[in-house]
Amino acid sequence: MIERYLAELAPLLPIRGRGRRRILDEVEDHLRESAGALGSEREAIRRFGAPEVVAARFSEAGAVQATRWALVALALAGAGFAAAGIVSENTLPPAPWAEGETPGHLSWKLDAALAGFLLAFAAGVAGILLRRRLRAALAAVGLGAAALAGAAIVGAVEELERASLYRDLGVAGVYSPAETALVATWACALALLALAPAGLALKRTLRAVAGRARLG
Amino acid sequence: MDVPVRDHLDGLLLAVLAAGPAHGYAVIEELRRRSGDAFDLPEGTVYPALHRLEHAGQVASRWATVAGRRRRIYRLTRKGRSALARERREWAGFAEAVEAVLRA
Repeated sequence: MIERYLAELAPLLPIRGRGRRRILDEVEDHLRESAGALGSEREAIRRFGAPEVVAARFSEAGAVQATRWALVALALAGAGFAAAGIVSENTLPPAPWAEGETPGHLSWKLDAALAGFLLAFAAGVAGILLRRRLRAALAAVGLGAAALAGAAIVGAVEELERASLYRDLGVAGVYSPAETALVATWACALALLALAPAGLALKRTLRAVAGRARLG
Repeated sequence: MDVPVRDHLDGLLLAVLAAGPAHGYAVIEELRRRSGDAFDLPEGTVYPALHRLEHAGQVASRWATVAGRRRRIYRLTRKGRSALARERREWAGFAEAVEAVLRA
């Protein structure tokens, strides 16, 4: 009877591999000890709870964990990209235009990218502070992820346009087109890496919500 | 009492583990003993809570072999002790406020 219970619980759990094995080992140890004390496997299983209920609680716990990782990743990515942007802005060759006269199509993209990265950082930090309230933390994940994705794309486009403009104007010391494209691609790849935990958090949360809905 | 217990389950588990390391079954038995069987909570829902506390760094766990049986033993961390102290303060304040209203 315990084997059948474990077989029913296993596919409902939100994690696989060693994490799932650990849960099943713990559950089996509990059920065997409980059955020994109660003298009945059926009663031990009744007290333990339906597989759907137990799995739903593990899904909720997994959503909380994934959300925390996502918030930390967003805060780090936002701060890292903003810092990299500021450093890059101050180490580029001198701009071939007077201060404050940056072409509008570059200026707004730079401002938007910086604001997006800072917003992702702020959302990550706010979410970490609100981590005990899952809905607020999740809202921060969504906001931070959107800000980071937008900022990465706008920032990469701005870098490419700036490099192209510098070359057209004959500014020395600018990256070649291939190097510029490589840097922009790398920046987008890093942003995607930071967005992956956010996607996982949202997926786990949706699964937890679905599990709760199944229980009514 | 399922819903109220769930709301305070983390604090209850930390309080039980404050007495010393224990495996899941022992934690649940102690919870039942201290509450005088008042909490009607599916036992299986305690494990996700223990795992959540572990991910939050408030408890740590390791496998141990006890009487020939492989068991996961949980213990309170320093962070867990701080969280328990906070839970106790919050609960004392809440209980005091409810008491004041009910007795008025």
